[in-house]
Formats: sequence, structure tokens, C-alpha cells
Amino acid sequence: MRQMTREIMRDAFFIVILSTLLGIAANILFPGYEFIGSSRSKEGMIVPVSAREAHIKHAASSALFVDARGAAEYSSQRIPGAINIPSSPASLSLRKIRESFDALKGDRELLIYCGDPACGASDELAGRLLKMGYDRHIYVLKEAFPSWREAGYPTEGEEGR
Amino acid sequence: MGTMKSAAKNMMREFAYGNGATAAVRVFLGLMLLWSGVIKALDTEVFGALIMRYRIIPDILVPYPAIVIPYLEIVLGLFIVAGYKIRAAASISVLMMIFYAFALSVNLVRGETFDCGCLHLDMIGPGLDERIGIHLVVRNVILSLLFILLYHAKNHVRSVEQYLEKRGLLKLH
Repeated sequence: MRQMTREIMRDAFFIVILSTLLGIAANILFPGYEFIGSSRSKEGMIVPVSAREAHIKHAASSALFVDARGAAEYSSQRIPGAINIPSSPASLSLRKIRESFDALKGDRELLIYCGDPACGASDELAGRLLKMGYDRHIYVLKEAFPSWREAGYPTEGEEGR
Repeated sequence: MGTMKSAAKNMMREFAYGNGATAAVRVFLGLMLLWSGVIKALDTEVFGALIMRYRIIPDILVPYPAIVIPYLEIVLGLFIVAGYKIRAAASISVLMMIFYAFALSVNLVRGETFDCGCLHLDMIGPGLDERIGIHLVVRNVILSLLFILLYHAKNHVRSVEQYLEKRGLLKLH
């Protein structure tokens, strides 16, 4: 019994080491794992902005606002003029990006927001856009949609203001 | 009634010992892990962002599981489908399923409703929603039980282990 447990543990260890080595090798062979939250921000491609800065861009119509939340939340309440590209599920997100790619690559800057400061959906979507060939800065509302709403800036949707 | 009961009992006993149905479950579980791993390995960056959304481990540590977990799932899937090192692979899989169930439960309690990114069922068919909910926790518990069953099974039909054992190349306990 003890020998069997030892064998299972040895095999489990082998599987974990093999997987770790494969993961590291794949990451070396196909470089591309740049962690969105750190490396891309450091490179300056994803720029966090406050609700006030976002409002200035909104008032000047200089940015296209992208809502990275789900369709239900978007319909309920959103920043006026924002388009909806949910960050997940991935397949839906990719389809929506392809459908809106012309608008996204237009003259205006991109500003993405999601549901709460820790949601991560904005970074996820921004990372995906960069990966798909978007080559300009992407602004991300750092305190997310609640900061916009709490600042009293306009919203639209079924819930209205 | 009594005969039916004993027939059902016998069927369960054979299933637990290991028969064709156990092998089918084994292949299903292996393919599921393989699918899940390949999808994650194709975009480890997005998988990293997903791990971050769970808020279970510090952000600075996120790249490590984002790189390793997809390949761990692929290796486990291959071993389980082939039927090699089944007990070790099943043990790791049970631990993984329990950890996933824990991560889902924590976020369920927090009131999160984001897509769990577990099996990407949306790629198979529309309407297969995987938003965080109690059903996903239950699913993981059921999967854990199936992996435990696999661990305890003594006979693995159509497996590499059985092939090697028949040729005296492997001695199973």
C-alpha cells in the first residue's frame, strides 16, 4: 500500500514537472505571453484614465467608448454612445471585435470600461484588440463604470440616469 | 423488485471495478481535459487575465499558472485517454477540480457573474452559458467524483496500462 502511494506520488510529480517544462518551452518557442496587467501597461499601450479624463474625451467626442460588460448590463445602463463588446465569452468577443473593427480603427481613440474596478474585463478586451492588430493606445477607465455614474456624468439605457 | 435491485447493484459494482462504461467515462474525462487545455494554451494571455478576475492568487503570481495549467490539462487529458498512469493523473485531476470548485464558490459568494472560462462550451454551441453559478460548482463536484471513481477502478478496458500488463511489461497493484 505504502509502495503504491509512493509510486502514485512519483508519477504525479513526473506529470507536473513534464507539464511545467512543456509550458515553459511553449512560452519560449512562441513568445507572446506578455501579461496584460503589467507588461502592456508598462509599454504604455494600455493607459488607465480617471472618470474626469474620460468625461473630457466624451464631451469632445474624441473617443469611442467600448462597454466590455455583458449585453444585459449594457442594455440596462451605459455611457451614451458606447458600443458593446463583451470581454467574454471569448468567441462572442472575437466575433463582435471583427464586426466592429472598422469603427474601432476609426479616427477616434478607444476608451474601454467594465463593471467594477477589479473586473479585469477592460484589460482583457484591450489585450485582445492589441493582439488582433490594433496598434494605438487604448484608454481604460480605471475605476470602471461606477466611477462615471457616481461622478454624475450622463448615462443612457433602460434604467436611464 | 429484489432481482432488479441486485442487478443494479451488480451493474454499479462492475462499473466501479472497471468495465466498458468506466472506459467510456475515462475517455470522456480525458477528452474534456484535453479540449480545456488546448483552448487555454492557444491564448495563455487571455487565460492569465481570466485567472486575475478570480482574485484568488496575487496578480504577480498569475503568469505561472497561466503558463502551466493549460499544459497540465493537456498532459493529464492525454494520459487519461490513453489509460497510462491513470491513478496519478486522476489524483491531480481531483485536486484541480476541487480547487476550481473552491475558486468558483468564492466568486459566487462575492456575487460575480463573469464567464468562468472553464470549458468554453460557447465554442461548441450557442446558448451554452458558463457564467459563474451554483451549477458550475455542482458540475465540478460531479467531475471530482468521476475522477475518484477512475482512481479506484481496478480494471481499465482498452488502456495502455492493460496492454502493458497483459504483456507482462507492467505490474499493477
